[in-house]
Amino acid sequence: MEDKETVGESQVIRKDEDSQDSRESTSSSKPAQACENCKIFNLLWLDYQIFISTIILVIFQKSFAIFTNMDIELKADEIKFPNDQGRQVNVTNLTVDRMEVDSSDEEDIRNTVGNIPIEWYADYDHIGYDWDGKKIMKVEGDDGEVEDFLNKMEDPYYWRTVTDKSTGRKIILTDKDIDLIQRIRRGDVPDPNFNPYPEHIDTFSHEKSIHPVIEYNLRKAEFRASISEKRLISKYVSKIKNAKRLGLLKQHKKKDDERFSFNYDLWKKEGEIDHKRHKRHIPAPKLLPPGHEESYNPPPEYLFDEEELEKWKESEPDERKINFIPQKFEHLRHVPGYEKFVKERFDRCQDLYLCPRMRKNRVQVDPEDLIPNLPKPKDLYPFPCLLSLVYNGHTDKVRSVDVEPEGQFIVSGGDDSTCRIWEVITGRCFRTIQLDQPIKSVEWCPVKSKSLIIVASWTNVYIINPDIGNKSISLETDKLLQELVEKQKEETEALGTKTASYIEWIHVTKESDEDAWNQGIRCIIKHKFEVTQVTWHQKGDYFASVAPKGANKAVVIHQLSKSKSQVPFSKSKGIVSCVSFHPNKPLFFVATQKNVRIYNLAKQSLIKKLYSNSNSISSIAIHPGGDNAIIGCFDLRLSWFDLDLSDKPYKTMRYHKKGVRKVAYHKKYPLFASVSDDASTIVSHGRVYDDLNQNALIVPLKVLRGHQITDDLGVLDCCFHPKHPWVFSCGADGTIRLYTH
Amino acid sequence: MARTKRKAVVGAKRVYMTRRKAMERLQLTLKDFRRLCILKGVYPVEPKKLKTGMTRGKTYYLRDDIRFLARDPVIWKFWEYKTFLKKMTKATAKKNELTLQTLRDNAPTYKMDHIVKERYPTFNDALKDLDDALCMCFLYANFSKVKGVPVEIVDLSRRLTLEFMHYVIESQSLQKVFISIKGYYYQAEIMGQTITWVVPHQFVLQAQPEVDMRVMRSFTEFYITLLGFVNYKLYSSINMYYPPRLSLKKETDKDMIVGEDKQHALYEYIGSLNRSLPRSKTDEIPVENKPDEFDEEEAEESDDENGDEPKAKKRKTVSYHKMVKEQNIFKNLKFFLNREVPRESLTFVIRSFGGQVSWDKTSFVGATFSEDDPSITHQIVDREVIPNKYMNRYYIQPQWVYDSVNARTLLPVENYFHDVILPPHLSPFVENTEGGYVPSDVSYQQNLAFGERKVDEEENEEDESEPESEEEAVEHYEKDLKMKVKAGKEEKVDKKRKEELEKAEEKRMAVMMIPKRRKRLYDKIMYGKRRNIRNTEKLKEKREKYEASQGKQNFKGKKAIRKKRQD
Repeated sequence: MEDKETVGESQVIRKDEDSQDSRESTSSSKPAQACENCKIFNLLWLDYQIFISTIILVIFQKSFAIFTNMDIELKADEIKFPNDQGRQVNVTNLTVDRMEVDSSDEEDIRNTVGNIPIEWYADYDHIGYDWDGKKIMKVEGDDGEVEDFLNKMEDPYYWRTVTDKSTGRKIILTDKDIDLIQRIRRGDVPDPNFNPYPEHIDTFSHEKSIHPVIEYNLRKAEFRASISEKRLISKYVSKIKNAKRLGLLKQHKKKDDERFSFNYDLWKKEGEIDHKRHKRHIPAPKLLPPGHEESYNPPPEYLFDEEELEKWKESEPDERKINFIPQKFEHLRHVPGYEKFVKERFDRCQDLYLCPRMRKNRVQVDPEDLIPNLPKPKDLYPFPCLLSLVYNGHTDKVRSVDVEPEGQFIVSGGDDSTCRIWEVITGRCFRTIQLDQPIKSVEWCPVKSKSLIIVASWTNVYIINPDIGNKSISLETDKLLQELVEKQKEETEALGTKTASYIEWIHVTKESDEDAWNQGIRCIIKHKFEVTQVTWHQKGDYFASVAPKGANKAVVIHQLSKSKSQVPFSKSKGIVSCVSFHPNKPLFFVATQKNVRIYNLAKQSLIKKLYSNSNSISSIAIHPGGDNAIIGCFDLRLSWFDLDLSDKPYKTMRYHKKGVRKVAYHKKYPLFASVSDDASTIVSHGRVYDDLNQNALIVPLKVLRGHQITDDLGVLDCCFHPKHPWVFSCGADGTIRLYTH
Repeated sequence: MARTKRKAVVGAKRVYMTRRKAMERLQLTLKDFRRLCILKGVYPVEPKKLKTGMTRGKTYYLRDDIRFLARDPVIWKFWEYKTFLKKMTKATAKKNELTLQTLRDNAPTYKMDHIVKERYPTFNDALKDLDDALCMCFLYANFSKVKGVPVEIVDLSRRLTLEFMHYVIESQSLQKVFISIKGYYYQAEIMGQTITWVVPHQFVLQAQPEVDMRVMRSFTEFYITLLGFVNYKLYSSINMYYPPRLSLKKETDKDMIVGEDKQHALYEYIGSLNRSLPRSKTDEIPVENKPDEFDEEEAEESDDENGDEPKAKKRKTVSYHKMVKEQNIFKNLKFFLNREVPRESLTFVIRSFGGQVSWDKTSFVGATFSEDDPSITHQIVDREVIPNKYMNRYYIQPQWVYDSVNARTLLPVENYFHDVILPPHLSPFVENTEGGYVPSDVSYQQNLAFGERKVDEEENEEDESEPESEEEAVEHYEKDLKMKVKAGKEEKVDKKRKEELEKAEEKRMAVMMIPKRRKRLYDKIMYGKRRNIRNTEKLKEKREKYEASQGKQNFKGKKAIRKKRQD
């Protein structure tokens, strides 16, 4: 710090010296200039003493010029030359002579055009204007080379003659001028009077002087280190230190060259694989390759028509199949830039770093493999496959149909409250029995020796003797019923009306109701609630009726031979939808909406409960063998139960598109059928093997169509012909159809 | 004081971590966290089940992944950058120009070499994931001065993409090309990997407000590093110098590259794609084109990926000789490009298939011959009027080149003359699936490719003879007008149809017995199939409609109408 200060001081000193020097020099060399103008006169006076006659005029002129303050330097030079001595003096004399000659004729010629290139006057006769505004004419005649040569030869001052460009005049340089030029060329100080080595005056010496050099007292600050400078320096120091610490002093390299320099083989050594990570890593799926529609010139069918265009515009961007509108350009030059290119790239980037990735197994399955391998229906012939007959006559929905055990007639009942009996082969309606209420269910007595039909119509169950076919059987049946009437009379007399409160048997005789008798009605069993189903026991003595609303009295078993009814269950287990007798065992199947209960009638106990997994069982059918059953449900299901195997369905089929209304087994052939509200009857092969280890074989064989859907109802009932593989179906369109093989 | 026991991290918390937590743990801002995820290729996961303490709608990362991020040395650079920004704000606020300058000059940067290596341990892995890198670099190479796109990155992308294209040309690995409305699609097969990329049409790409250029930039920085190293490896695999040096054979060319701008001029030359690059040992056959090794590689690949197996098998049957021939369909052809056609794309494609290209000297550097060269066979034009034609060359539209490449043969030029309505340009990427729609142009083009043009000519002749036969038919009809009783014919039972119907019914019956759990799958498959069929039928219908409206003329380009025939 102190060094610095001393340096500063020394500089200051030097400066002072300089100024002193210059002062000295000026005072010595140019007294006239340094002092007042009046001094010039003194000098002039001296000059006058030395050089006598000729100079005086010139000096006067020059001094005049000085007085007018026109060109001080020039005058100074000219004034100086008296100081030159010896030989040179002579030369100057000569020069002065010439100058005198020149200047004597003319006044001071000076060009007033200013600092402009003189070439501008090349085309003119003059070069500029003098003080008076008169033209300065060009000096002519000296341009010739001969003239020049002659001058060179003749004129001793030729070598020191120069031309003033601005006036065109020739000027002979003075000795002073030449000296000056030579000094400059040599590299000396131009001023000849300058002393490079002046005597050193040790003003501010190390020796302490008693008296101060300057007259005033120094301030305290002059003796102390500068605070502001100290601050500045400390700042610089801290910066240097900081830079060192931060490593900023390193020379800065070009950034990107360093960052992106690919000058070695990155994969020379195989990289370490973080197995766990790489196993887990899911590579991003590649973008889908472009299709024909993305072409700049696609086939015409890929272009949108108006409808598609509108649809595309209306749909959300995520829902669109393609994210652009196909366009066709005739030439490649017509293709514009694609606006959304950057956006699509950006979307892809976002997918790459924002989307969770997940492996999804795409199933590569041939759909053919999924289809089970079943025997061909052709090999399972015969089965009903052709619509042979349509029995027209009912005016409303036909709810139920059943075949006579011989297979010659069928009986049907429907919402038009008629029960009709038809001959199978001819399709002729033999008899129409008009009842008061719509019929829900009809069933022919399975025993051939009885000619009886039971019909469920509203709350009544009618026992009807159709009086058709074999006359003797019909008569015998009538006789049997007659006996019953008498029996009942005796009983009523003996016991009184016991069950009259719920079920009432009313026997119809010829005398009591002739119309009814003539129609064939032999007996009416009155219920409290609507009866939906009636079914015979195989032996033709018992039959059961179902009235779902009857709670614990929903199921009633009637005995014809005693004309008695009994309610087997004391407690309701749910709404009963249908019941069925076992074909050869004293078993009774009661299907509620959820499951099927099997009761042993002899022991009066529950044997089994079948779980259908459904909430709405519609019908049940028992295999003639007695070990299997099928259940149809309104929720499209058709369940096959193997009673020995399990209480859960062995197989569930869902081949109907609407609720299954009715299922039925064929008594001889391994066939079963199901009807549904989708107006189809599906006939399937259902073979049961004697071998207990072998499960039943179920093969759907044929979908039989023909019925029309009316009021959302299709086919309502079906039954098989007892001898042939034929199936009858009745539907909501008021027809009964026979399908044969 | 007893140490408080740290609660054990259990359950879902041990596996997953929310984004916010992850950011906290790594001490990064969201911006930096994203950048780090992009560079390291970490993506969020979707927990299979939401467990206690987890919320729907949050982004979850695997705790392992976050640990993996924390371990990377790049994260230090991120932290440095954070402090750097702080220093910058301070210096700016103080208007400390000197500090600002020094800081700016010494801004922390990071290198991504090790990340590339880490993400792609083998070169094959890198090639597998090159699609996105190429697309992105080609996009950036086409960017002009857009806000948020640094010039250095644009220049680098341009350089690297050009180098890559040079490699594809040299190795002749281009397979498919396609001009779409979005850009040019290319597919190359490099070392057994199929690489597809898209190059935008050469127009000014406009910055869109919804695009976050910072994200794009992070991706591009990584991809540039990846592509650079891949280029290095690829170049060295075929004995080429990297970075590429241009072989300047003629002295005249050398004169053109003078002065300080030499480097720049060199890249301009490379940019022209019209010079082959020198190799260190020219005699050796490039490694991947050796037939045996090629097959082996293929085989290995097919072992790795079961999905590609049939493809590989198919390709194996193609003999080496045929393959070479197919890759050189433009051999001995000389193309001259008019200034209105896309120069870069065409040069790339033509040179990849062995052709020679040039263009007007004044339009771009790198022209090798001038327009009046008599040996030019094809001139590619895309304008209405051509002022002075040369007799000994074809004037064709650019589509011919692309279609020929996809067909792997020289298609007849008549359909592609400059004044002709072009046949549709079809995508080579569409593979014909069962039940999928195949435009009629495909089969037509295939026929052309197999040189069955004669058949068409015959067909044309037949067409011409048709009207005569029609007249005859009219005569016949007039004769038939007289009253007649014809003998009744026995109705034939079509056995085939009956059988088919029976079979269909059998199938329908069997389908009914599919168990429930399989039924859904079956239905799904069938639904997809049916939808395909529906689409196909719709397209067919549209095509028929179109053809009906167009009449017979111009269909399939059979009788392409010349709009203006000059000769």
